[in-house]
Amino acid sequence: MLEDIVHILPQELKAIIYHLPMEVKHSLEEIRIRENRPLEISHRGSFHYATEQGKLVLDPRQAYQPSHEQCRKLLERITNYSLYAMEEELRRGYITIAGGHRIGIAGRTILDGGSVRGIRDIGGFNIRIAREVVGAAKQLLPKLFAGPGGSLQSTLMISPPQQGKTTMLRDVARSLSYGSHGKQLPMKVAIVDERSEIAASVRGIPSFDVGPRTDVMDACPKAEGMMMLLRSMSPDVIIVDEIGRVEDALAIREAAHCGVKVIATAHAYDVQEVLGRSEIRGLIQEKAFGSIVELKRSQHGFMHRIIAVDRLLEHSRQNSGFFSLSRKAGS
Amino acid sequence: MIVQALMMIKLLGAVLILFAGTAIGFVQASFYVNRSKQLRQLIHALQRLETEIDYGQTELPTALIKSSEGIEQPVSRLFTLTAELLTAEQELSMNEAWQQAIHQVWDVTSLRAREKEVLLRMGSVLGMSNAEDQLKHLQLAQIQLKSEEALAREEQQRYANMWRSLGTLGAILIVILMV
Repeated sequence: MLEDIVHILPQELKAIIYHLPMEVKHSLEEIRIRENRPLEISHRGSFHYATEQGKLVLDPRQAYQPSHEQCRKLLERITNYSLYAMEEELRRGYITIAGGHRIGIAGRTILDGGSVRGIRDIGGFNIRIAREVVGAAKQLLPKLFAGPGGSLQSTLMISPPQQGKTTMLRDVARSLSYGSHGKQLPMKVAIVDERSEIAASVRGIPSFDVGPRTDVMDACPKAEGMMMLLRSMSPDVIIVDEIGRVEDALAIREAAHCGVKVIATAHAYDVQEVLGRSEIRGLIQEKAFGSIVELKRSQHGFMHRIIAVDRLLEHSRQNSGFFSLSRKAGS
Repeated sequence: MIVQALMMIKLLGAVLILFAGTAIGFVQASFYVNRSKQLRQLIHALQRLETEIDYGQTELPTALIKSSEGIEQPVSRLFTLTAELLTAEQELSMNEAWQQAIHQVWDVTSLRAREKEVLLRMGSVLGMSNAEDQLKHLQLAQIQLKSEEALAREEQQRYANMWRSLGTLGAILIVILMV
């Protein structure tokens, strides 16, 4: 797994990463490279600077400082010597490399009529190590088949950031595509991967195993991607990350009309908060989603709580209705 | 008998000198012919590279190999060698790989120092800016190479024929002097 990362690093940095303590190497989360400034390593939630010998220290003065030459070489290797072919990635601010790792970049932006057209004079890199957790959704999967006759239900997964939404979504896609959950035959899965996070495609080919019957629309706006996939790939289920805009809601309705299930995620701490977002509230009221899953990551792995939308609607009717719920979330 | 044998040897020598002279003339002439031919191929390759970068958005190692297709050795070697050096494990930067390829290939070509300068300058920016900027640099290099090519063609017309006849004529002169 580290091979993909080490492969792109210039010699000096490669040696440092190679000499890091074993347990750090295994729990590596980010390598932050800033030109002529201390080399930072973050692992399992904490951070350190790294010295030339690969020792971890907290004093930035002892840390190794990558040179201009090294940063330039790193950039060349990340872009495969072809910055010109990365204009879209530079506008987004990150590049996905083989293995699904994402490299965030910072530097001086080029503006075009007030909007960012790209980045030049790149002086900061944040290499984020991607880890695939096969089987993350094992517990959750059987509960998604709560529709009539044990069929798959459209599901909205919610959680705060950094709690494993994307990891979970990826494993759901993979399991449905393989049919490994044992509930149903392998399904045709379509992923709209606007931020190249779910499948981490490199040149259109997924870096992660997302299953044999999965099609990925990479770097595509969600709503448009969903419509394209509905028309072109006849999926059984569409997987999409971070919904919330008006267009997204329209596309999800369209999918529901076609009988295609949607498994989507949204940023929110709990059901109350997600109901405060009008587009998503609308979808829930229309029962475009059969259930909502709250996700949390604890030390023991992924935790989830499933809320059936029918029950939720019933509950809110008996109490003072949806709007009191949403007001509570807003306050 | 002996006189006849001597005559034969003299004749043989004369023929050899004639051959050698003509060959020297042709080699000198071929330098001019090759130079303008290689310049032309270089320009073609850069045009192709331009298309690959602009419309194709092809990544540089592949773009270099594609540009080398359809042109002849040793110019094509310049591009394939750079691509090979880039994908090798040595971790060369683009500029270093390009420089190394030029130094390795240059002596086999009929190209001169002026073209070398143009190519080296181009290599220092290749790949490392947006498409628009890349095109500007590639076009600048092409303009410079084209003016070299015009000069080379002029020289070819003037000197290639001259060397061809000079070789033979020189050889005849030597033969006459010796006889």
